Amino acid sequence: MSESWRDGRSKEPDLTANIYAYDTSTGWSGVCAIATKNLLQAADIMHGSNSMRNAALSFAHVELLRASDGMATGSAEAARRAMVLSMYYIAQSQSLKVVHSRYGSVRGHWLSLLYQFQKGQTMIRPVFRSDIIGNQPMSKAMLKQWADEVLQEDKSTTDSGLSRQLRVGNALVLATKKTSQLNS
Amino acid sequence: MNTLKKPETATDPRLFPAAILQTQFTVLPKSATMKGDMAASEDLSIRLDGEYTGKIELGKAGSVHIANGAVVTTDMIIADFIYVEGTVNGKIHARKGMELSPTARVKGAIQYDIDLDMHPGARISGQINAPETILQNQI
Repeated sequence: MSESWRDGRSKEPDLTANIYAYDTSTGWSGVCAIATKNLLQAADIMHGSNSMRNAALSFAHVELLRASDGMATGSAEAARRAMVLSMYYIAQSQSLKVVHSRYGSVRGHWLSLLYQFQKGQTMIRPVFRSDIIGNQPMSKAMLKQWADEVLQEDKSTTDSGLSRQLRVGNALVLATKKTSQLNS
Repeated sequence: MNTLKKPETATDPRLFPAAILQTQFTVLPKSATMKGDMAASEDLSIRLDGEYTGKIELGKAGSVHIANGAVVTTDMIIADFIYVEGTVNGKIHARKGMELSPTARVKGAIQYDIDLDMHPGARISGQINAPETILQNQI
């Protein structure tokens, strides 16, 4: 697999899908850039197999949480596993199929946004943006801004999964709050 | 103006329920302009043909058809099914199915909770929010 881990630059800018993970509860983020053919191969592997899709979904949650809780850096095994699982998480999504069939390419920016709740659940919101911001991977600051925008959208949308959790009193753990809890 | 006549569509929808096209109400005719928010708590199927600015929230089921030629500027449109043939600036959220026809132009964000279908020719400038997944207490 052609990939670059947190190096901030893609070696194949014309053929690149940028995969991101961001945990709103810790501020941890991961990024990798892979050739679009590899992302499509991952989709092919899971095509028609619900068990593989379900495994990808579950393991993505677990590995993202593990990497985030350990604040794994780019070269750490936990970060690599988290990003591979993020890739498979994106690969199984209907968005990938739709984008591929519509545009003939899966180039762009694919984010798995992780929410952690006080009662222990985790939620992943997958989001896609096309190349309108360019082919290169986003900087950390841009990624944080994007994650914040999606978080605010989800909070303000009454029917989002995040809003449903908040309505039943399951508070979202946020980076600043978690830090303050740890410090208290 | 309400109408039950069959709407003229360039391409037949593949995801949007055909029965809704037969029964939807046109709440904004072509060449008309409207500003303001709309909400309904009962199942309602509406069609927009003109220029609309505002929010639409169909709280229980419901569908919105943004017809070819319609221009919608919105903070949010939410319904079970949304079928876009016209132009949307803003965010649209379909709890069940979102379909973008070949003439659809969306600048903003689309969110679908179950199904998404884009016909060749449809254009999105912005982002696609896919359904969330939740994992219970695995810590």
